[in-house]
Amino acid sequence: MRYRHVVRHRLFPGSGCTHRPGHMNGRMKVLMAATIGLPVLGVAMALLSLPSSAPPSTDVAHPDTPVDRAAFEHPVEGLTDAQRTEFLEGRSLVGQSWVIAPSLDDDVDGLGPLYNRLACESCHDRNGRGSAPADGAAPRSMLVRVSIPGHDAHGGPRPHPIYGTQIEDQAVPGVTPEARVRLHWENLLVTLKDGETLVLRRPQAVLSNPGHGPFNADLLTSIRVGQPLYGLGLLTAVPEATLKALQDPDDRNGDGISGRFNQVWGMAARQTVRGLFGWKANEPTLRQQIAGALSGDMGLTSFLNPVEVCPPNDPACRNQPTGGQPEISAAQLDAMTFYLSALEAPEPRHPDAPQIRAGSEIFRNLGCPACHVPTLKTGSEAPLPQLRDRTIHPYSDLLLHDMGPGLADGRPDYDASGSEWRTPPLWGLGLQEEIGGSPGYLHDGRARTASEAILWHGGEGQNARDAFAAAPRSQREALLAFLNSL
Amino acid sequence: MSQLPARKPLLPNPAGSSGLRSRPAPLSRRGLLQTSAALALGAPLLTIGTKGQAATGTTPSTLTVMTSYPNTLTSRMVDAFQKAHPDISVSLLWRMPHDAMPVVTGPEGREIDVYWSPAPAVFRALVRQDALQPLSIDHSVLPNRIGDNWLADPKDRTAVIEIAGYGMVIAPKVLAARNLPRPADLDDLTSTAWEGQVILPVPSHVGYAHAWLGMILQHRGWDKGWTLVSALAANARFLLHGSTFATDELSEGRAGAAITMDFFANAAIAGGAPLEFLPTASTGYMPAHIGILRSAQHPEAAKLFVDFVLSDAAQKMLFHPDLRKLPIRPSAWTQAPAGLRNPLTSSEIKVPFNIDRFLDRRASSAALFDLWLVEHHDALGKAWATLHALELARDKTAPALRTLLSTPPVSEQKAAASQDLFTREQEHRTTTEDEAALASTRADWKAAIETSLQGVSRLLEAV
Repeated sequence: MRYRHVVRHRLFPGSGCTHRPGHMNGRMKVLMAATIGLPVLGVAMALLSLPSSAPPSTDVAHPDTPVDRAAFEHPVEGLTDAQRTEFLEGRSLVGQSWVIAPSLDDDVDGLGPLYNRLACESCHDRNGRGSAPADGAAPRSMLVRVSIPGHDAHGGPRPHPIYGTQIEDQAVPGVTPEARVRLHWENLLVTLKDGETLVLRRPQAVLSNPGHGPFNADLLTSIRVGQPLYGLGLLTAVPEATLKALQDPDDRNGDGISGRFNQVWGMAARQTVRGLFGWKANEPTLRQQIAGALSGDMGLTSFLNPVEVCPPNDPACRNQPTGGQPEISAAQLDAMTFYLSALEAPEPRHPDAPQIRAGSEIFRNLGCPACHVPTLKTGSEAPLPQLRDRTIHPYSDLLLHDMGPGLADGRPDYDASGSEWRTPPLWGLGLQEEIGGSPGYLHDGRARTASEAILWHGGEGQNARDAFAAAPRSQREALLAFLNSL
Repeated sequence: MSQLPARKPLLPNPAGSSGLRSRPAPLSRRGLLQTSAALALGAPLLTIGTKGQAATGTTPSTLTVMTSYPNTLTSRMVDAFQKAHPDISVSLLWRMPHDAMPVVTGPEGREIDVYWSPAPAVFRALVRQDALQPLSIDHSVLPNRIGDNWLADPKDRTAVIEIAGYGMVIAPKVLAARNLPRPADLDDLTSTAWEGQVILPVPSHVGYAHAWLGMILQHRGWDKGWTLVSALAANARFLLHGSTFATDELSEGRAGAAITMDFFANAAIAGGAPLEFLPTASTGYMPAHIGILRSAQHPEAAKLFVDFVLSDAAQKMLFHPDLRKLPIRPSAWTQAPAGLRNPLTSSEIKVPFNIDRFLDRRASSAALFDLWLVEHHDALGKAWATLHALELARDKTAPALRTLLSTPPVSEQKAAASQDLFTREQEHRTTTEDEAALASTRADWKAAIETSLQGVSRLLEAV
């Protein structure tokens, strides 16, 4: 048996712990925090050191029908010819590999000097979500956010004085990247009530070779995997009042769920507004989200982010040729914003299949819809007529929830605490694996399957998670079939 | 020059050798283990959730690769390479082929180790400048020619990665709905039934479109080739530089057939598009290459990368439904997806196709296509429609009209004489003298086209 000989540490008191509680290092504290609260309902979890190639548990396969590999790339119905043209221009830019300036292709140059990836689609393959790398490998569709304790002038994360708010691990020739990033995995075994075991994994990012001086000892970090790009316009079109009504910050109804808005800086509005996009709902609009990603991930300036990202002590970076000022024209930013606004969300598949109907019922019984709200209605005032008055099924309330210490990154982002995350929409969940290979669920891509993602739920999701872990296998399979159908 | 820690290749290679004769010596895994050991022992690497200073010890190797491949291909290849070689970081630089040469051979090029691209003109130029290292390839595993068609440098300074042919992609549902006959070859798309139902990418706007034009002109010859191309263009809607794909147009029912490269069509089909891809009698195959720059700063890492890209495992990755590229490695074809034709074994590869000859006509052919068939598209379309009607009526004017409409107004010799000029223009490196020569050439060609069109007008007036 491949796992038999590799157990090294057990962190539960009385279970053979080899470390005295008073001598835990920081890493152990995190692990300990993550395991507290897990052994409920007879579920046991042990920290293991397993081969990183340990196979993930498999979810129930959904019905064997041909998959539309372009399912995340379709526009909403009814685009006019002019809208279709803009949609296609936006698609072209989202798929564009950007070029270092100067270039003959001066409409797509300006990459860097510091950057993470060449193209939007590097982290959002076919508009889907990114994935986490193998043990010891460099992240290819994720990044590491950094900051130091405190806030910036608008209440957001306080940038590191040299490295800013994101580690750019790539640089144009002649410029030093900010660091080398590698991910390593720690494996944990979870035993469910009926005896089934699953291997969970927790990422550990290793930053080495700092390009511009040492990192602070109190550096705050957060690993973020690329999120799906489809359906974002539809989410924008949900009236703020609808989401406000879903808030329950003080848990007055006593259901243990207390969603709330993040309050973030709106660059265009020049004021604090509710956050909607990003893992911690730290971006208020699609345009600001896109401009931020262009700047942070690809080093492309726009009118919203007109300054190149460079360490203050690196003239080689600051003296690099630019691809224009700004490098992304307003028209290009508009086209990308339009494209993402007009991307349809995939339809649920086989909703009437008996197992999927049963799974839907279990989803409800476990209490999942308290955060993963199945149905929302878009408003009548959406800028794009095709998005108005639609009944959509994102399975999200788009609000922040405390997900417990196991998922906490310890890095506050505006009003979102280190353990709060925005409920990620579930639509398209099952298609992702078929379209995008090995997806990475949750903010750092640690979960390889929906089962793993559920088992990482803590905090406000603890009860639902425990109920899942205690449910009979047939019910778990039905739930997973339902999730895969979305 | 930095040295990589000597190490064993970590990727199992089921087909044995990657095809490169000289492989790195099997050495220790020390370099790989250093990171793991540092982690395990709490060495000064900054890990998230812990406090510490970053390491300044071992410097990992960074391999710089320039490419024009899309992210869908590079990300999969680089991910797999880094999984096999975690001690090597890969930095990708992206340039379109027409923009690559000044960078590769300029000061920035000193940081580039590998050039990896479907860019035969760039590779030819690099070979001519002797800017690439010999690779020592085992051609029993990795062919560099098929039949009489050379695919790579005979001295092995380039290695073929994959090949791509063009063909017709059709939308069977559109054909059924509009009662369009299923085409057996390109000539069928020139019939009157196909008016406005063909999508044709324009070579000066769509990079890959040079291939279909060049292959037709080589296979049929200059005059007969243009005869077919002019008739196709008359029935076509042009795909220009921009954002839509031929497969989009067909999937959305805007046309019944398009000329495109095999991988575009096959990837769309694998993605669920209701289309079908059909090779043509003129289909030849264009190679994509990889090469190591002589100035490479990381030659050992570069060699490992080339070795990986040519390995059986990487070659099979080219079949991914989002790629549907055609590997050069015959052994990879044992896992080809159903329905994908293997040009390495089928007869179609026997279509003669000389890459040098193609490159020597490319820019001038594209210029003629623009000046003749794009600029006068409307007039020519109407004239061809009239011709079809006259031929149906067996009008005696028809043969002369057909001759005029399908005869290229510029001879092959004349086009060849201006090839270098048009190439320099394409690459934005013309001199003042070049500008004057280009203007003169264009005026000369336009006059010939005008003469041809006037002849067409006279014939039409006489009908």
